[in-house]
Amino acid sequence: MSRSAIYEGPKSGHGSRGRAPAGPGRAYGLLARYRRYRGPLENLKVTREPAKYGYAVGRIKVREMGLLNSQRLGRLIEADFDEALHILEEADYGDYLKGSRVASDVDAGLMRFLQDLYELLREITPAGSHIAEFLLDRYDFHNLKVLLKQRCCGEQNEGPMLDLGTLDPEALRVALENPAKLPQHLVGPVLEVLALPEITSQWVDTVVDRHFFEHRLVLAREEHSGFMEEFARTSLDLANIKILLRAKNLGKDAGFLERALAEGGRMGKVWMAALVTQPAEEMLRALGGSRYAAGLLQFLGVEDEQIRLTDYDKRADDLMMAQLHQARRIAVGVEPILGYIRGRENDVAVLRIILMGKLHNLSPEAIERHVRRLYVDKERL
Amino acid sequence: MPNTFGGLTGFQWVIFGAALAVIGGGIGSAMGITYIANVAAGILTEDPDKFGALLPLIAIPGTQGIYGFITGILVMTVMKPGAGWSVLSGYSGLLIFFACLPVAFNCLVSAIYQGLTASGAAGMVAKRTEDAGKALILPALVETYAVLSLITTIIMLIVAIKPTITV
Amino acid sequence: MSRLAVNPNRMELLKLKRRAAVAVRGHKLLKDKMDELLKQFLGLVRENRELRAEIEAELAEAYGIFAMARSEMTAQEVEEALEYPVAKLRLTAERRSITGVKVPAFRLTAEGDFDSYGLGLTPASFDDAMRRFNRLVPRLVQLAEVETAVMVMAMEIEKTRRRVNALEYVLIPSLQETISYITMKLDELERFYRTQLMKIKSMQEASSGAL
Repeated sequence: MSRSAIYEGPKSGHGSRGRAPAGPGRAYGLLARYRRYRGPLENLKVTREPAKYGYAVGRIKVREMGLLNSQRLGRLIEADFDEALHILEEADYGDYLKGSRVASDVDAGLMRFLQDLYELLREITPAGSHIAEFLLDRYDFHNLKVLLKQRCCGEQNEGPMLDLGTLDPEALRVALENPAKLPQHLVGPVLEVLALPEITSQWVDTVVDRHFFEHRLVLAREEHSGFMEEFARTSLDLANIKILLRAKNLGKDAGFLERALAEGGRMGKVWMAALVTQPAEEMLRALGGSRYAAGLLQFLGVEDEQIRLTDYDKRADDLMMAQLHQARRIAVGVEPILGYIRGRENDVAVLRIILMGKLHNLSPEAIERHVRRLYVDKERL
Repeated sequence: MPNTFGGLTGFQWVIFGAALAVIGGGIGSAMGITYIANVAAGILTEDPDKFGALLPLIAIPGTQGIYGFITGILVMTVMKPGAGWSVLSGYSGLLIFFACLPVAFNCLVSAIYQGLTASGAAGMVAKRTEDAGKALILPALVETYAVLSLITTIIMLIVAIKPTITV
Repeated sequence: MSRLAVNPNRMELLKLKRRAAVAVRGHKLLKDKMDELLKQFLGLVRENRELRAEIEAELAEAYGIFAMARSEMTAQEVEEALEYPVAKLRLTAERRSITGVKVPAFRLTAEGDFDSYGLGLTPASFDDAMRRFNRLVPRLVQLAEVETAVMVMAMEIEKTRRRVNALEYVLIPSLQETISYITMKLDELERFYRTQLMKIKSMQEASSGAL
């Protein structure tokens, strides 16, 4: 798929995302839910998809060899910074990180790697597939946040724009001057932000992030991929839970959550927003009542009315990765592509954690506690 | 004339069966090869050296088309009654038609799934070229059932043709 | 040690004796002041050392958490999240005096929350790191206050010590030396006059005897 300044993607109305089940009772186990998708219709689809995604999957299968594996990871965690760079030379990441000395070198190297990865993704995405957009529009929304903040909070400097998304950042800057020219899916967040009674940087982030999660669910539906939809919905749910828990810790009210929580997840938005007024223990118990969130929440404790969230991100990412592991069972389709790109992004995050940890002289144990489950790795967790 | 069955003559039934066998095998093989060829194209873009290892995998869903073709030729030439097609009764033609069905359906479905299996096996080759031998076994197992259907069809043709010849 | 260049007469002696008395009294007072300053200073240094160790440990911990939190996102995403903080800090500096030494006193007022970022895409450990940093800011200001006080006190002590030393080892000895010099000079002068008088008297007696 080629990048274009003028977006001609799906025209998604708000109506299509109205299938939000209410309450935790409607939450299903991931696996059960996934099996439900593999009914007879899905099997017909299996005969159509290989032609569409075959080429992309072929490209990816060769490159999957370069992903980090647990054995390499173990060596990385034990090594010091220079040794770690040396070990990485065996993997695909070495060329990008060679000669890094400080944190900004590591950031720049990994950024170059991501650029090349996304270039590959755009190249191999088949016609009529939203997979590139699904994975990359996160950066469009990021750029949108930067631009909106600049517009509402002050200066006109360059800003931390990311040239990784599906839209050219400059084109986006120009389009923002006239919201009618914006791509369809970005009009909603822009109008909502501009209509806010008080525009602070947190409100900008909150509103745009919510639209991001909701839009991704729409894209997944357009792709007619149960797997992608499952992925989008799970990440939306995990983000919702995270927002709720953090909002509780930060003392936000239900009105904040009303705007912050994304719609379309397994747990009803209104039900979740109401939970914030309850004491922390009560809230955890109510959330844990849903089978879906129970495994995730049983590790969280409460300390002086603050919910301990140290491990939440890792748990959530590991859960997503466990879901992606199911993709490895499918030979050809959108699943291996999604899995591979997410696996690479996960590798980048893991490398950043390890290398930054090394630069800050953290102990191998402390680093290991933060390191995510790998895409290639099956045994951990 | 009692030489028709269900409104079709024996000859028409035979043509129908042969056509179905060729169509089934052809469609199946075309689809199967398309799938695996797509994946192989991706792999070869990354690593052209794997061509040799991938070629058997690409070719293997093609066999079903050949089986369909063999069935068609067998029916149209070898099975031809000595006295010409016109003596074939509608009932006998129907028998030959049924005898063609195992190849027609089995080859259609098995070629498609063989293409899928081969695509998965190509993923193994993509990772390790040395695994090409092992990878070939997987789609070859699917091949078994195409072969079995061809054998069955041939036996059925021979058995079915006997009364025709004696008439 | 040098003697002052003064005329050895009674007038100067009187003046010098007065100066010496003042110097000795001043020396004693300064010495008392320095003792008091030192006592205060040592207290401050101890407080400073404890505060600094505490803050450094907390900072290291907060930075560790932040480093881990930030490495979960790209640098640009971190920057975007933290680009426009809402919290406003107002710092006013006043003066306060410790045993007559003027040291700064800072007052910090904060308004607004530290969370200026979205909660959905930033890692949850962000909150923890930010909360720690937020709690550390007033303590950093406190540390700055104590550290500046220590520095000002040290300078003051140094100055006082120099004065005390100057009095003790330079001014007072040289005054005393000059005094003793003048005293000796005067004594000598007196003896000279006396011998002269005795000589004149004996000469007078001799001449009157001869007459």
